[in-house]
Order: sequence, then C-alpha cells, then structure tokens
Amino acid sequence: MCLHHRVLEGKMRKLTVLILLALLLTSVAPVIGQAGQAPAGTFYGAWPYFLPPDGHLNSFATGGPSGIGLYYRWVELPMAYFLRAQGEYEPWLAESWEFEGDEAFVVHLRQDAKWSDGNPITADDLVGTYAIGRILLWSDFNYVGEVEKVDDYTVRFHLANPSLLARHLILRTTIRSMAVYGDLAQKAMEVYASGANKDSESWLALQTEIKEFRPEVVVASGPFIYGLEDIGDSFMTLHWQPNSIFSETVKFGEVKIWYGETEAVTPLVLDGKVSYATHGFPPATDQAMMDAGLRIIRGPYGYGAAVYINHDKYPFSRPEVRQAMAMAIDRAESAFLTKGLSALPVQYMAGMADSLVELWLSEEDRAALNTYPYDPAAAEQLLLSIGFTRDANGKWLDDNGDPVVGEYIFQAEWADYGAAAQNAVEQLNDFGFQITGRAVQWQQLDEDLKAGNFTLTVRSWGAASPFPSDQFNQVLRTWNYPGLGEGQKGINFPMEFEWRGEQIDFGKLIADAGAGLDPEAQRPFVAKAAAIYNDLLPVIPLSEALANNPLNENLVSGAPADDDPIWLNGGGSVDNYITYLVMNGILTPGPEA
Amino acid sequence: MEATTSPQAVQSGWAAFWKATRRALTGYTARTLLQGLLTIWAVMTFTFVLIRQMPSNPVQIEAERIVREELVSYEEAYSRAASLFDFDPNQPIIEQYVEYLAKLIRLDFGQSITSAGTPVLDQILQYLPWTVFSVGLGLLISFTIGIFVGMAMAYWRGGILDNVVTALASILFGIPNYIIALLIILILGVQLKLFSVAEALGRVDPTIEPGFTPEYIGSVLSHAILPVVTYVSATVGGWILTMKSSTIATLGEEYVTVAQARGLSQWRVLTAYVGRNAMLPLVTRLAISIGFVVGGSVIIEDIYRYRGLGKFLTTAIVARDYTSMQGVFLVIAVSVVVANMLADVLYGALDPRVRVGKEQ
Amino acid sequence: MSISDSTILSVQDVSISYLAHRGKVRAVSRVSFDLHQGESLALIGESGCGKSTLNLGIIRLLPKTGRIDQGKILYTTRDGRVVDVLGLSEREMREFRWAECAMVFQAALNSLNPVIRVRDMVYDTAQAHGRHDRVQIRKRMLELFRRVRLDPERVFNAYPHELSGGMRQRVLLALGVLLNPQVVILDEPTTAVDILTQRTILEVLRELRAAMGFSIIFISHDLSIAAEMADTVATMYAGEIVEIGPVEELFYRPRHAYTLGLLEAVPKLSVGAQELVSIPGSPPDLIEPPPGCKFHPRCPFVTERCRREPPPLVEEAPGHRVACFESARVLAHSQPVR
Repeated sequence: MCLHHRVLEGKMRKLTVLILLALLLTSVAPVIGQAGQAPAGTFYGAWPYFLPPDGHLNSFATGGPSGIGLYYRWVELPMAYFLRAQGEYEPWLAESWEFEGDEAFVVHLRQDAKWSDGNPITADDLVGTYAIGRILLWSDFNYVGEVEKVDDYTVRFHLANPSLLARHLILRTTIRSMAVYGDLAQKAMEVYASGANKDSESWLALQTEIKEFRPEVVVASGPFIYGLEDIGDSFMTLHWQPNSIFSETVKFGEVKIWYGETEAVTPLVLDGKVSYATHGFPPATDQAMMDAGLRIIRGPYGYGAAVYINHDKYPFSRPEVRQAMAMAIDRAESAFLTKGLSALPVQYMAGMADSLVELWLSEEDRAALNTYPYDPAAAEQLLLSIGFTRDANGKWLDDNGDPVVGEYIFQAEWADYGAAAQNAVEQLNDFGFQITGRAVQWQQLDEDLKAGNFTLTVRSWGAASPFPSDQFNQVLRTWNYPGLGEGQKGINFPMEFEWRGEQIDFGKLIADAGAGLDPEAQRPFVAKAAAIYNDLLPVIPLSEALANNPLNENLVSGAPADDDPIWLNGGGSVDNYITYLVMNGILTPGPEA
Repeated sequence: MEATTSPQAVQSGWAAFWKATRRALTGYTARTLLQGLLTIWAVMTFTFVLIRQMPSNPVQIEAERIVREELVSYEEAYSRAASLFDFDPNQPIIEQYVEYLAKLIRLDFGQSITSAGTPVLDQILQYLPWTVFSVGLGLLISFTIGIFVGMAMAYWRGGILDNVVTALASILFGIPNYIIALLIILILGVQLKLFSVAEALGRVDPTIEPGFTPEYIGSVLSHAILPVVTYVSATVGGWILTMKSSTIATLGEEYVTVAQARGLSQWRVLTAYVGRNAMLPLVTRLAISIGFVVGGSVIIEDIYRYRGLGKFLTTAIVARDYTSMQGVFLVIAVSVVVANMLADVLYGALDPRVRVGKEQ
Repeated sequence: MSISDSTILSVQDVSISYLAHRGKVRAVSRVSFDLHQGESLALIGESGCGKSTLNLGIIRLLPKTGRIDQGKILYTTRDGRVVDVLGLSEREMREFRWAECAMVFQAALNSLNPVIRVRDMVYDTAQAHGRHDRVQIRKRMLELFRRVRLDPERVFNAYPHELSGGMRQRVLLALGVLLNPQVVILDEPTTAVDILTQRTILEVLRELRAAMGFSIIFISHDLSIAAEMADTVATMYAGEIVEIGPVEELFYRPRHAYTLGLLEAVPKLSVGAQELVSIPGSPPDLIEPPPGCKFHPRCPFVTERCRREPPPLVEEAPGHRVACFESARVLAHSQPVR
C-alpha cells in the first residue's frame, strides 16, 4: 500500500510539472505575427497622456500628440536633434542650415523624407507649420520675422532679432503635415497678410479655430503612428509605419505607453513592465528601483535648489552675509538630503550649470571664481570683519546689534525642495543665525515670492536651457523685478550697481551674453556675468538636480555606458536621449521585450 | 404650476398668476425643488469665486509643466502656454461669472481651459459613468454586506462572528483606502503576482472592441474588481458597525418583544420588525454617500489608474482648469442635492411618521 | 402535576434571575399562585419588584441575560391537557404565545412597530398562527375594534402614530384577544393614558372579558384599578409574593406591612392629604438581599425575628395567605384606617 501510494505520488508530481510547464510556455510565448516588415519587440513607456475627449490628434493644441511626452517626437520629427554635450545638432528632417549674416537663417530639408501617407515632406509643410505657430504666438517669433519658402526644400527665416536661440528653437521644431493642417495654415497666412496683430479679432478667432481643430488621423513623419482607437485608459499604443526616415533603423515594432503619474507608474516600474520612465521618483523609490535591478540614468537638469533671498531684508541684502551663508552651508550634505543620489552639490556657484561653466569659461576665468567651500570659520571671520558679533548664546548680531532672524518658507508639496530648505535652516542656525522654516502651498509660495513677501525661500537657480543667458535669467528675470508684473519685486536684486569700481548694467550684460550669432563674441560677456554672479550671489545655489530615470535592461538592450555623453541630454521631452537611441537603432528590444 | 385659464383669472391676470404661483410654491414638491436649485446656485457661485482665489492660474501652471518637461526657459514656456489656453487672467471675475451663468442657463458647461475646444460636458460624460459604475457598485456591495453582517452581529452579540468582525471592521475602518490599495498592489500584485499590475489596472482592456459583448463586459467587470474591493474594504467597516449599533438599539425596542409575544417567527421579526427599523438611520447616510459617489474616490482612481471623475477633478484642480473644475463641482452639487431629495422620498416611504410631518 | 379542575394556569415555585456584572439578580424567587378560569389576578408592588419579569417568564420572553432557575408553569389547554410551559419546544412555545396567552404591554406607545400599518400587524399575528384567510381575519378584527369602541376601518388601515395613546392601547387589547386566548396578561394597561381613556379601557376590558371569558393577570401599581378589576390580588416585594388573597380581604384586612404601606400611600377622597404616608427607604438590592424578611429594613413592625428568619407564606384566612410574622399587629393597625 505504501508502495502504491508512492507511485501515485510520482505520477501526480509528473502531472503537476507538466501542467506548470504548459502554463509557463503559454505565458512566455513570444508575440508573433507582427504586420508587414515591422520589427519585432515592444518598447514600454509611461506617461500621463490625455484620454479623449481631452486627448485628440491635433498636435498644435494641448492633449494632442504633443501631449504624450517624449514619445511625441517619435511620431512627428523635428528638423534636428540637439546633442548637449557637444553643443551640436544632428540633422533629422533638415539636411543642413546656415545663417545668412545677421539677416536670416536658412534651412534645407532632406529630399527623401516622407510622411506616413506617402507624400514628401516639403518646405510647404515647414512654412505652414510656422504660419500656424505665428498665430499661436510661438516664442520663435521673438527672433523670427517673415518665413519664406525658397524652393520645395528650402525655407528662409528672416531674423527680426539675430540670436543663436533662433537656430535652437527652429531646428528643434517638429514639422506638421499640410495634408492635415493645410487649411488652417492657409487661413493663418491670410490673417497675417491682412496686417492683423495678436489682439485683432480675426487673429483671436483663428487661434480658437486652431485649438479646436480635431483631425481624424495623424500623418506621421516619425516611425510610429497612432489613432484615437489606440488610446486606452490604461495604456496607448503607437504602431510602426514604414515611410519615415527612421523606419528602417528603429528596432521596435510597437510602443506601449502606460498611463499614469508617478504613484501609478511606480509599481509598474518595480514589476519590470516599463522599459524607461521619466517620472520624478522620490529617493525611497530610487533605492527600490536599484534593488529591483533597474539601471538608473542620472542626467543633469541644469538647475537645482537655491536659497532665495529678499534683497530688501537687512542684513541679507549685504553681499558679505550671503557669501558667509554660502560658506556656512555644507552643499554636499544639502544635495544628499535633497534628492539622495539624484543631486550634486554645486561647484562653481556662477549662476549657470557647472557643465556650462566648463564649456563657456576659460580655465583662467574659472580659477577666479570663488567656489565657497564649506568653511564656517572663514564665514565667521567674514562676518566679524563687517562688524557682526556673537551674543552670549553664540547667536549672531548684525552691525546694528540686531539678531540675524528671518523666516524661510518652502513648498509644502515639494519633498525635495522642502528637504533642501529644512536642511539649510538647520545649518544656518548651527552657524548662529535664527531662522524659522514654514511650509507653504507651492503656488501660494510663488505668489509670495513674486510679491516680495518673504525673507528666505527655496527655488531653482539655473535652467534647462543650454544658453548661459537663460540660466542667469531664471533668477534675475523670472523671479526678479525686471521680469515681473506691475508692483511685483520678487527677490528685488538691483540690476544696476557699481562692481569693483565699474558701473554695471547687469541686464544688458546678460543680454549681451546671449546676443548675436557668434558664440566667441558672447564668451567674455558670459565670463563677466558669471564672475559678478559668483561674487554677489543674488541667490545661493546649493545643488544641481539629476534625473533618476529607470531603464529596464531586460526590456531594452544596447544602452551605452554611463559615461557616454548622450546621457547629458537629460530626460526631458525634447532632445531626450532615449529618442536619440531609439531612432538611431542603438536601443534594441531586450531579452524580455 | 397650475394653469389659470378661467375667465376670472384672465380678468385679474396678475393676481391670479401670483396666487397660483404662491400655491405652487407652498406645495411641498415645488418648495423642495426651489430649495435644491437655490442650493446648487449657491454652491456654484461659491466655488466659482473660491477656485479663482487659489494661487496661480492655468497658464502659469502649464508654463511650469513645460519648463519641467521640455527643459525650455520659463518665458518661452509662458508665452506658449498663454497662446494655447482660452484664458484671460485679466478679465474681471464678475464678467466671467455673468458669462458663465448665461451659458449655464442653457445647460452649456463651457469649454475646458487647458484642453481648448473640448466641451466640459464631454469630459464629464467620459469619466462620470466609470466613477458611478465603480464607486456605485462598491457602495452597493459595501452597504449590503454592512446591513446583513451588522444585523447578524447584533443578533448573536458576543459570539465569535461579532468579536472577529468587530475587530476586523475596526481595523479596516481605521486604514485609509490608499493604504489598502497600495497593499493590494504591492503584496498581491508585485510580490505574490496574483494579478499583473500592468494589465489588471485601468478601466478596461483597450484591445477589446467596446460593445455589449461578453469579452468587453467581462473586461469591464474584472477591471472594476480592485477598485471595488478596495472601496468596499475601506467603507464596509463603517456600515457594519453602524448597522450593528442600530440593530442593537432596535432589538431593545418593545415592539420587537411584542412581535415575539404575538408568536411571530424569528425570520419575520428579524426582517419586518428589526431589520427594517434598524436600517432607517442608515438611509440618510446612504443617501449622502450616493450623492458623493460622483465625486469618485480620488486616490483609489489614481493608484489603480482607474480614470474616473475624481481623478479628473484632481487633475483639473492641479492644472487650475476653472471651467472643468466648475463643471465637476456642479455635477457633484446636483447629485448631492438630488440624492438628498431622494433620501427624503425614500425615508418617507420607509418611515410613515416623516411623511406626515412633511405634509403638514 | 396536580392542578385543580378550574385552574387554567398554575405557577409553582418559580424563580427567575438575571446575570449582571456584579452577580446574579434574583428578580423572582419561589413564586407560586393559581389562576382560575375567568379569574382576574392583579399583581401589585413597586417598580422593580419582579412583576414584569414574572409575566415575561410565563411566555418565556425574558431578555437574553435572564433565565428561569426553577419551578413549573402548568397550563391547562382547552381540551383539558395540562402542559408545563417551561417544557415546550420553541415551535410549541410560538404557538402558545398569543393564541393561548396574550400579553398587552404597558401604554402601547412602543408596542406597535411605528413603520407598519395596524392591519399588517394583524395579518402577521394571524398568519403566525396558521390563519391565512384574510377576509375572515379582517372581519373579526373589525368586529373587535368595534367592541373596543374604535372606528374599525380607520384604525385598521392606520399607522400607529396616527392613533392616540388610548386608541393604541385598545388596538393592542383587541389584537390581544384576536386569537381567543385563555389568558391575557396586561402590563400596566392604563398607565400612560388620561383618566377618561382609562375608564374606557377598563370598561371595554370588562365587556370583552364578560363576552369571551378569558382569565386576566394584570400588573398595576394603581390600587384603585386593581380593586376595581381584580378578583384576587397578590402583593409582590423584592421578587416574592408576600401576600395574596381575595380583593376584599386584602384591601380591607391587609396582613402584610408592605401591603398596608401601599394602601396608605394612596390618596383618598375622604380624608386630607396630610395623612398620606409613603413607605420609607427603597427596595432592596436583589443581588445581596437582606437576611430574614426582605422588607424588614423598611418595616415599622419589625422585630428581632424578622431580621433573622424569612417568614413563610401562611394561609391565615380562607384564600388569604401572607408571609409576615407580625400579621396580627398589621391587621390590628390597619383596621382604624378604614
């Protein structure tokens, strides 16, 4: 009986194994039968895209293809891709381009590029795109005047205001098909030709018409395409199409984009269902993702947390006090507490990203910058030298004998900046200031900041833009009186002052740093602005934020090593490194895709 | 309103009209309707002003988003955002209000600010049915379980069921629903792999053609399981405990003893004398819950990527899409008001004492 | 099971207790009495003396914490069989209730389910006892309503809250005799109604009883009503019957100090209010009752013996039993009062 039992048990076990095997096989069975010559393999993205009716196919309006994050540029291609590390552009729909003196910027389109409907991509498409863009008040028109079709593949952008920024904006613009938007473009040209301006009724009416336009199909220039039926509530699907310049190079036949914000996407990422995500994950998730074996790409953002100062408040209005603060705060500690591994302490303290400092400033200029190393003793000496004293409890008193007190407000909802602020408060108080922190709802904080209704707060220094002038302006225009509305002071940092015996117009200096078409001509202005910023510290930069984008190497293969310069491109929607790697066929389906 | 076409009425037209109006207004139904309309108008006006007092505005928020996602300068982002939205931050609020009201009277909810060209009504119609379906189903299940289990516990007070469920219900009652949702996803989904966190989430499998097919309905139902289970576990404890205490109170009523003294069977006593009376206080709570069904369960919808009205509302709030927010708030206000009226009617049907009170 | 021919209900040596946190509450201890065919027995005593518990015990509807510790409740059915109510199955018990022994509760304010129409409660009751002919039931009920001087149609279709207290009491009374029971227990039937309604209720009760011949046990602390309605009166104190006898005997020649106290506490029209005497002290703790006679701490006739020894219930006059060592003194004291 015992024997019999054992035989039966053996049979059962065999059966169980067989069943399990069968189950395993069916679940792992590869997706076969992709239509046409589409490559096999799926890329799994994630994005909080719009669901119809908010989601539609008009890429000029929010909710259209332009609303699907970085994947938009897999559907509609720009003229060129900007390689940040080299400061150069890789030609995509454009073949070449040049400036014609200070007068114009000319783009030559590729002649072999086709739309998904089989039509060639021509100058008409580009001119039409800009005609509509003009009605929509694209910022390109801060620099561009007339847009002129030279021939079927050549377009001349007349420059109203010569700037390298014009090139940057134009080349990275996606071209739209006039098979879809032709009527609107025609009307746009007519309205513009009629002499109407942006406040005219015809202009505003057309603006509305453009925004409310709902095309039935997408005509794609990129290797992927989709329709309304592909937008599901939990994921949307992009399908490969054969007519793009990248159709032959991409290695994915399908792109599946999971819907969701960070909280919803996190379990998918941890469960290995996402090839790549650009969501900003908190440090705890960061660790969990590493534990789950995901590769984390930490591209620089070009900005990060800074101590914002109200220059109306004494003693913070004194440069020496700000310099002392810069030395009294340990930026390495600050960076780690702000975003864990996804932040670096700022090195040059020049108002622009450290990578840009190295790109733009000569070695000599860089050496002249004060890097404000963590040195409370030096900070103390500096304060003593301007007549500050310590009271019986070691707290600082200013030269009037008043204690150095102030409130430090921070964004209640922003965990990272909140941490940066609280740490700064702690370090400053250790140094002998008497600062109190207070959390404020973030939009309210912006209002307070604009109104000058604060003493200290935290916001970003720098910007994502690769241009130093944009980096300076993030602080000096966006949050300072020159760029703000009536009666708003922001940090109220004076833009005209005497510096080292010289009268400085800081606004003009920064403008000069971005003016003209010759980077070499801009360089000295950049260096001078950086030196002034470094000395006066309108705000005190603390750390530079890094992305923490998970890359699942089970789902994608071929990602370059961590030191590859492409990663410097960052995880934004435009010029995202993944876009470059996928279009050029560098990224291929991984073992599990 | 009653028509006044008699000759006398025509002669003194105004007086008759006034009389008829007054008679109609003093009617209970008409009064209730008017009250409801006034409530809705008040809520609408209040939210209209309030949401525009929130810091920032749609354009600034969108500009922030563009800066963050596309890594462009703030000024570029701002001008792009401004041109994309139908929103003039400088228009006086009173002017906006009059415009809105004029549209609303024609049942036009206006267009979304952040999604120009999309009528708010279309947005609401896209999300509302899913929320009503999932939260409504959850409420129904939760309420039903609560009634039966609560009653059984009161009946066998001190028994095993009572002790176990009381402990369980108190625990469930104390855990916020998002914790339950996260635990379900992380433990059942990611750890135990009982379901695929990728495919099980959302409202329906998008690869299935919508229609009255078994596949589609099956997919809709299976996708509703997680949100419904979460909603039920987060709310059922409250129903159970309320029903239990209400049943205990009812069991102590003399008419229950009298019913037993009359020789009625246990079942009859339990249903017609205990259950029905014990449920009365829960009806109001149920009506309020029904009213708030349309508001959805924001966090559950968020975590399960179940896109309903609650999730839509939070998105609209974050984006400061005033018209969309206004539309959703209006729908919520209407449904709460209607649910309350319904509760009155229902309560009247269940409890004759209230009915007479109203008529007097 | 010995029981005399005319006895319809014989309560023999019944004790009932409740479980409380502090211990066992002896609500009824060793109570015995016989109820004869057509007899009306009044139970009098202060609230909390165990009257209601005794009655709930008879139809076995004690609250969950209550239980009958000992005794027998013998009931003679119409066909002459004698059964012990305490030995009936749940099903038989259900049949017994209302069909054999109906109970009309105090004031009837809460005795009717507020959300159910009177007619539905009538049908419910009839159906529970296997009577499904609605036409017949309705006819009989309307007839009974007429007898208790109610507007039959209106009341039949009414909700309880649409009726006055007195009407509700009569509804319950009529409902109580719907199934023609042999015993009707009335728990304070006239407490919450005004004096005129009280009269009406007593009159219809008398008429019904004359017509249908049921026996009555009724609880009251209103001695005048007891005097008017009862054939026999039993005084209960602290869960015990301390005195029982024919109504004339008990009221005119009370032999227990407690009965005497109750009588002296009743205002009389003939004399002034200044002679009203209330019983000092309060009812005893039923978890730890005093030794000896439970009434002794409040008794003006108390002796040393009373404190030690519980007095037995002794028949001192025909049909008049009393549990008091000093009954002779009490009797002597009571005489000048009348």
